Amino acid sequence: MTEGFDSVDDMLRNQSSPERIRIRVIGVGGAGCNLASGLRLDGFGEVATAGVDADTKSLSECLTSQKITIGRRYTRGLGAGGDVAVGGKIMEEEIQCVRRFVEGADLLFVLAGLGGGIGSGGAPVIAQCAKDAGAVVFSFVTTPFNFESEARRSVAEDALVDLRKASNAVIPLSNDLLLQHATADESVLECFATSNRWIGRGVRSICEMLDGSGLVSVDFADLKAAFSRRSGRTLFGLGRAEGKDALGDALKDLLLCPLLHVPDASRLADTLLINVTGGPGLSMTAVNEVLKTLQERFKSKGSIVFGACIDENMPDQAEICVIGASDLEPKPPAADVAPGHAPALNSAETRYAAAVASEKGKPHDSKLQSRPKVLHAMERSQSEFNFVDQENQRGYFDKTERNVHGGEDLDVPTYLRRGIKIEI
Amino acid sequence: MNKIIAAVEIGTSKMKVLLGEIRSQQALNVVGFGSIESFGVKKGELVNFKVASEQVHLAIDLAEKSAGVQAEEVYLSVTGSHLGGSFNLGSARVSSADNVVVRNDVARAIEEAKRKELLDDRIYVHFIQNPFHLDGRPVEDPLNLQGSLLEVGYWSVDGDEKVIKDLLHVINGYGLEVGHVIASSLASGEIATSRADRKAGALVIDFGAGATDYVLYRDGCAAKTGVVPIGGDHLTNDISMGLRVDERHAESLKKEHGRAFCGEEDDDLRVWLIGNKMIGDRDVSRKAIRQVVAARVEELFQILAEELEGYLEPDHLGSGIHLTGGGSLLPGITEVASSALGLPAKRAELPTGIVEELRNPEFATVLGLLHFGLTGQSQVNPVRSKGIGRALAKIFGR
Repeated sequence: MTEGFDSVDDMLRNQSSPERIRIRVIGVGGAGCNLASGLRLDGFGEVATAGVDADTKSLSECLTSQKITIGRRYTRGLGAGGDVAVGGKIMEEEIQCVRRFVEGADLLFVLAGLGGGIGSGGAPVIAQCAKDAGAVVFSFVTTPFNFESEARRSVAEDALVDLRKASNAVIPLSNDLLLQHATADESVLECFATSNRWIGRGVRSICEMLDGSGLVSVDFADLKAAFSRRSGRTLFGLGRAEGKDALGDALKDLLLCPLLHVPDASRLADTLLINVTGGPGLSMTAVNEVLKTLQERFKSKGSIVFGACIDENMPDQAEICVIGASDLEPKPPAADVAPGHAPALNSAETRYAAAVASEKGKPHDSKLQSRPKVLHAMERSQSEFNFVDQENQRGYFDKTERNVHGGEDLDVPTYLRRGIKIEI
Repeated sequence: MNKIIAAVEIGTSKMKVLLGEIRSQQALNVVGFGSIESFGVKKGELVNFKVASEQVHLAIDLAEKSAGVQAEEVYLSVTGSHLGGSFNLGSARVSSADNVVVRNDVARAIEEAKRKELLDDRIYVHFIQNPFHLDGRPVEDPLNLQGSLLEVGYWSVDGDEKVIKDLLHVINGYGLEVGHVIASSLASGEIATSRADRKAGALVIDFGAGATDYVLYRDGCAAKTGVVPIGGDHLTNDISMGLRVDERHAESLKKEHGRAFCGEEDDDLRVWLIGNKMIGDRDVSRKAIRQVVAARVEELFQILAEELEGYLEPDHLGSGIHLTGGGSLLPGITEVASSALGLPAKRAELPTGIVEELRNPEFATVLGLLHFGLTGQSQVNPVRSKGIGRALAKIFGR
């Protein structure tokens, strides 16, 4: 299989550094720094991490390899006080502090908790800066609980829109939904820990796929091509299990993941990224089964980026991570295409296809068809506004008008809005 | 040949059509009936005109075939969060020197009460007259009585013009004219309570699939109506999301295991999703279903309590709460309603003259519509459904 390079620039880059992809992680704001500190990325070579905040005290507790204090002039080291305008302004003025960190990255993870000042105001600015510099930007963000203030929620929604414009994929994790996945009797604080864990796993999964040491690893060019278009809503789900049939159970766990139980899941999976991690006993056949099930579940016709890794430390365990993204644009307008950043509409033949084909010992014909894109794009741009609304929490009422009563959307299940934990 | 009236409800779960014949002395003479699954309607409002139209037309066709006659006039119900309402008071100084109320005084009071103008995109659906007060004392008919200040209140129901026009177009598409548009709450209220109930004061709550309609009667008149855009579909969606099952299974779990409150010992059961233990079947906790449902139902009644604040004094609601609509079949709902609203609650009893097949709370609205069509004629002025005028339908309560 030959790789199709999208531009000379791409090719050169691949030649000059074929070994390592430069992955960087940046946590923005208090919650973002906390998320970045909690990442355990040992074993992935040099994944540089940084924390950016205006609050020197909280930054001092941050465990990232770099710490960047911003906004001294405005806040004298005391946080942005939840003011998103201040957060955005500081970040724009002091972007040079961050630029050096993000500029060398091929892949940048932006982590933030939306709803606060620096996180909501700063994350989109950083993402844009990195994207302009040619990096693939994945943003993992948490969104506030429904019972938090209306103001926080609306700040988060606005920030999400900005962030979507600046990132290749934004994966929002709703704290409301995560609460559903937490075990019983967990407090809200523990729920925050859950979001840290989930985002950690998501970042780790992508790093693992790219690491090159796995059973089926993913070429960075494939990942880049798959996410070259600006994405709309995303799916994110994790399943994990232990025991004899760990992989099968992990699949069951994944299918019960609250974050995946959204209507139109198939629509959201124009691009599907699947990573399976298991112990040394992980067999290609079993992995294939998982893949088949997931393909059916998400009826994905678009690109699938697939990776499978073996982790010696997980003997009887398995973990499946799914990230799906819908395309917002058929392809970026020509003017927007940065060198080396061209879309690869049909060259995204996945490693998975290759792996399956080679295993079956026959040539594969899974050429990815491009669908009637124009109509598609129209649909998308019309529904783009809906993305702002309550992330994926309205189910059947997804495309109907919001049903607002006292600042709450009544179409969102009551138990979610009230933080009632349902033990299924 | 008697006139054939069609009562049509463009419901969220079902399209329901009843045909009735006006004959003296028989209030509910149902001659034809058609009910089929609804598509294209969510939360009581059209979301897909074409699909919904097709289904409505099928239901009318079914009813006409079963009756062997054609409908001549349509009574149509309307619901959804676009419906609003306001209470407007009108007053007139009694003009004659001897302080005896004359026709002109009454007319002036009524005119003032109805003068309230609406925003451009809204139209009145009903003006419901409440009792006259003469110098503060309630009187049934003020004419020829003595007093100086005559007051009258109207509960006016208004709705979004476009939404209502769309509904009329659905019926027009079948080649029928809509004679009267009636708020679902009033239709259900009419059939779910007796005249005596309304006189004593009653609250009727119609918990439908798409929305919950309510009407509060005081002194025999509808003093307040409203719509809370929460219905049985919300329960289904909540279960679907909470238990991560598809809608179809959520619907059956709701019907089989749903209850308006949780916390009893029989909750600790696990129930099968499909029941055949085939691939894809899964056991789920019954408690989880009930937690999800209870949260929603509790919220629904909280919202009702907020909206009805100031109206819920037991003294004025002697007949208590009457629950109807498909959602009223949910076990435990009367208990929750009663404790949330502080009034005795029961499931409404539909009149005994109705055939068993239709004596189901799901049909309350469409039965009420037909009831209006067959009895309310003399007091209800004809309505111009072509180029809707200022007011759509008529005055109730006199």
